[in-house]
Amino acid sequence: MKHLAKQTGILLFWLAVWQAAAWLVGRPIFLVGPLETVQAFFRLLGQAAFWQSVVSSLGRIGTGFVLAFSLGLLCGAGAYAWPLFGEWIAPVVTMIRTIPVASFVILALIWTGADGLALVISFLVVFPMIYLHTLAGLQAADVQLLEMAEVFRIRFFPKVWHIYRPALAPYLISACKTALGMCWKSGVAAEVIGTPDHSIGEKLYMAKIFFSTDELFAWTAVVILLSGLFERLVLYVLERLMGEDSRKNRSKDAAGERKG
Amino acid sequence: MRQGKGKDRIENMALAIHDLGKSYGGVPVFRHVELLLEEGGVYCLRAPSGAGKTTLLRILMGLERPDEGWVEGLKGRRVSAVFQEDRLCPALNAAENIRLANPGCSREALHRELLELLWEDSLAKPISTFSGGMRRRVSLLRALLSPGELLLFDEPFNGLDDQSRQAAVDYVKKKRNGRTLLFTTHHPEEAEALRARCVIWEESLKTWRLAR
Repeated sequence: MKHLAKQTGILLFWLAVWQAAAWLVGRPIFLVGPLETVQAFFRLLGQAAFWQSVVSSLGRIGTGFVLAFSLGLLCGAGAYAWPLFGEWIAPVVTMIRTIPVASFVILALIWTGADGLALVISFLVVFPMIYLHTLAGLQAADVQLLEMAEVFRIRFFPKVWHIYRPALAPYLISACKTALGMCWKSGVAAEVIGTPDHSIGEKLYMAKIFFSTDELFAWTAVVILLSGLFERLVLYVLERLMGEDSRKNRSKDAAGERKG
Repeated sequence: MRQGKGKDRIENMALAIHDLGKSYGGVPVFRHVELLLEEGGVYCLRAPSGAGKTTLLRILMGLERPDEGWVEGLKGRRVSAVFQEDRLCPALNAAENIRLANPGCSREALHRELLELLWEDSLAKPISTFSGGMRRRVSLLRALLSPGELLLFDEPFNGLDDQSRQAAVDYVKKKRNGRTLLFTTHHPEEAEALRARCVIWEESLKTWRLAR
């Protein structure tokens, strides 16, 4: 309770600073305060175009993330099972990681047009992270347990579930935390460049054209909100699927080494 | 590893080890090992640390390849093991760990067996909350309740106090069911309690042989 009060106090302090700065500047084109931002936000909420843009951007960026997550997981597992496949795919992964997102945005604009842009960019940002963390997680699986599974001839699925999954969980959850934030930032940035119809990026661009700084701030808040909600949802599902064992494993260090 | 020259095993022999040798970095751990282990026999490997007891067991488990020689009698045979480490899944409870190795074991039968070496109130808890001795007992239960025909135990009673050691030895006697057992130990009383024939270490020759 005390912690909550402290956090609220800090938040209110910075909101007050922001509002004071907006009053001092006195020109809404340069800086609007939190009150104007909230007003603009509620104004947007009542417009059908707002919801159309939100759904459309969420769909594109979310689809890119889900595709990259699935393919990254599959390729990571493939590279673990067949090292030759890992060596074969390594230059592609390195290329995706090192080429600037801006270059990909231009290329994707040429290849897919503005509509598929956010999906492609979100995919390209997420795929290498999930791939590399999946590979590292599987390589971190307990060799002693894997030998035990070999001796006792434990079947494929129980082995994956009880030995590989707990090893993979912390790597995959950590990769997702980073990837989720990154895919929203780069996805929306790509939309601003490509300005596909009915997208958050287009609305941000229009706000800039019409000097609607209050709407620019409101849309930024929308992106933060959507990104946060999407992250919570994905991590909730992922932790439900994978987190239980990894949480129990962490307690091993604390309680496990007692003498018997 | 060569396994059987055209036939699976020599009659009445569980394992026939021929001219087996293993080196690490050019330094021989053991060499020219010749052993014939009878079907249903109990054998105990006794030697100081570094004589390659664990290495020999790992070769028989199929986890390592020998540099020289071959073993007859392993082909198509299931092995049950107690490793030097407990090698249990920390998030699973005792029964789940055992069922992982032996999914065919019925829940009721398994519950009865677990109570032979563990307490009722520990059964629902994950292995990560178990003490070292309790984990050792689960590891032993897993090996004995699995359908392996050849039992390879690496210091199976390590970390047990006198009382639980006696209970564990009695349990091995009861649950071996005529299967061939080869185990390592530093304690002669464990070999005596299981009436094991000793396989002893010849330091000068760097080899193992059956005690007369």
